[in-house]
Amino acid sequence: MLGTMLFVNLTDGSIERRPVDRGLLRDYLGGRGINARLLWDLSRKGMDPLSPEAPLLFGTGTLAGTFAPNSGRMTVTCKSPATGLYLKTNVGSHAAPELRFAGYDYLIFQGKAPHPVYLWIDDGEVSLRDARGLWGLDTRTADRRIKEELGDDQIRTVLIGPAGENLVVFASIMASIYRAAGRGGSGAVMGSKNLKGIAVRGTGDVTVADPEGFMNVALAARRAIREDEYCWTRSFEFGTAQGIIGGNEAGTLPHRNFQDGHIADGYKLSGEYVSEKFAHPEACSSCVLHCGRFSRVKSGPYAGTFTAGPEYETLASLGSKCGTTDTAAVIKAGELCNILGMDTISAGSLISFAMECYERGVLTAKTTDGLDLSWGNTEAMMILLEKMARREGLGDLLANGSRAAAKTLGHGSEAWAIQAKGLEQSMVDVRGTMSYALAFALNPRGPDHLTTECLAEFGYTPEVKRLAEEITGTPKATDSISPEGKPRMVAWHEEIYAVTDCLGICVFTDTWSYTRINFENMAAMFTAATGIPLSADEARRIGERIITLERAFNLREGLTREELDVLPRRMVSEGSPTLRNGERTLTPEKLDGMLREYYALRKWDPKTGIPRRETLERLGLDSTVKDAIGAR
Amino acid sequence: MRVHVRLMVTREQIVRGRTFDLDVGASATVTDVLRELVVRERDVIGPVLVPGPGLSVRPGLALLKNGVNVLHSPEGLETRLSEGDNLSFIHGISGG
Repeated sequence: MLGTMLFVNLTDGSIERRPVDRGLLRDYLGGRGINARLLWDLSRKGMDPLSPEAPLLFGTGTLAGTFAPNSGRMTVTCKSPATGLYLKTNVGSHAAPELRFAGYDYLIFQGKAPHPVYLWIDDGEVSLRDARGLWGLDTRTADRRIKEELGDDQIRTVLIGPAGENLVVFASIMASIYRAAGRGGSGAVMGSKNLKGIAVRGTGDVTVADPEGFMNVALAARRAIREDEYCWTRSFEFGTAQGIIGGNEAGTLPHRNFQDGHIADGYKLSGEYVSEKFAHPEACSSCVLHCGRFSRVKSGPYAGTFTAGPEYETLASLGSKCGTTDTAAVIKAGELCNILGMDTISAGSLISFAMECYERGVLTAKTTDGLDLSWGNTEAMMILLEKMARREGLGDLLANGSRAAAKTLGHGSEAWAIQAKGLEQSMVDVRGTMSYALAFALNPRGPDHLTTECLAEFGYTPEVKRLAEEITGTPKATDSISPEGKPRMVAWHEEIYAVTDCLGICVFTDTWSYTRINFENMAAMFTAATGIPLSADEARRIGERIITLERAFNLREGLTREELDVLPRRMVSEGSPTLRNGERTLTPEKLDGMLREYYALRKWDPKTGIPRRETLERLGLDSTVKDAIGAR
Repeated sequence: MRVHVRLMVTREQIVRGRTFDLDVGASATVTDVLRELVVRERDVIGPVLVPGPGLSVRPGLALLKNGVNVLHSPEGLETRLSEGDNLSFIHGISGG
């Protein structure tokens, strides 16, 4: 069960197998945790994320390929070209189990191939193959060509599209064409290495140390999730887009680049509408919830479109945020992002940023290559997506991300770039939810929801409300505008998400079906699978260790807390007209107060946000970490 | 006074749209609105309420008054309403 790491030096083509170290697995649990440690060890301060020396890591979850619920996931880790900081991004599909069936748990790429290549893993046989004929192809076409070339349509692929090849800083890595390791530009890192993709075919088994014990705890967890009727029904029937209606009614659905939070006819972006008109459920490996969608457009100007999704984030970023409720157009835009290999959140954010610049006269027809970037112009959106992926005209400017684009455009446009640390914000208006505000500010990769999503703050069932109060010790936990209890809320979610990522379980399970997946049953599954004893408390402490190490990576780069723990300017400087009558629900002072309370909770220095030496020692982080970040 | 109610709980309500303008007394509460809806639109309000004689909202739902969930406020269903208030019945889980 300890598994194998595959080190691939793309410069000289050498491939080395190393066993996964038992101590490393015990200390970091797998997937995200081991990746974080390897990235720390293999990187140096100031390293260019797109240089040959920059490592790119794929780490399967420790339970991937097993019967554990929702466990088919893999973490991709590197230094982000969008932020210049730590990046972990997580992807589903069936790729991670296939890698483990072939006998590999970690892929570590370094160097740069002299020409485009892809890695072919055929059980024990591993080779680099010429990909010059695939370069320039979209992910769907490249996937088909590889399967034809290798004569096996059961192969799983992990690929970049033209955006990754062209070093677009929000290029994604696509597993099985449609599942994205989306955020932060890992696709550009892959492109910088001339690595078009990975193809894998595995026919072996994943063995566990205690099969009977493992089956008992995994089956109990699966049943518990399945018996959460409310969660299961909503996820299966409507997917992630079940949240559109709630956001739109609460006035927090991003509309016109977060200028407000409500769009007329917003129901057309809802999971309920999408499921009725366009989509059916589709699951990742071993999933109980089946929140994924697969959509087809059968009529109208976008007839013939087919793709996975659209998810909540895609519907908001390429829909309401750009001022449209044209469902078919959003599905088409999502398809383009998937096959061109771009993160839908950032892609939609770049378009809506450009639309606001156009509205305010900073961009004009002269500077948009003649495109009319009025809100809701879906035809222009499709053209702009292609231009960004291929770095043509205005697309070339936007391909560098909204922070860089605003810096070039000037004229106050920095205020309309809804980004922090160089990453565009996820589709949650944090002015309406203080847990999200704090979590987004602290997230080492930038303001998004996939490192910590504190849905408990909404207390959507009596059981969840009780849990929120238990975590925070205050009934104010579910008052989403109050800062009270939010630091504890964020810390708890950060830790459970970290452990969940390490095991390869989908983090949505944590927060859609609170308590069904928990520290206790995750520790038990880890122990039964690996034979390494792990308690719930120890699992939580390892979660804290990983979070601290991820922060240390960014501190090593020399950033201060004022540079690291930030939100997009609009979030802290403007009220939203659709949220509490435009009240300033979030201010820099309010955010700072929550941050200081969080630092105290974590035992970090309250002035610098740097973890104290005794904190690092308690967490078992070694002197290389202490010294690199100047811990005192 | 007049309040606006949007029911967005079932797929049918969301896709087809179920909105009502209700005239209620000057000191009306959310409970008064629910009572009115039970009388006027029993089939429509059914999916919102726990079956039985009382008036309680099903677990998993949220009741927004002008965008704020009043089910978590100390007043709960006894929250007072004002002229022009918007009430929305929605599902609580979100995001992803």
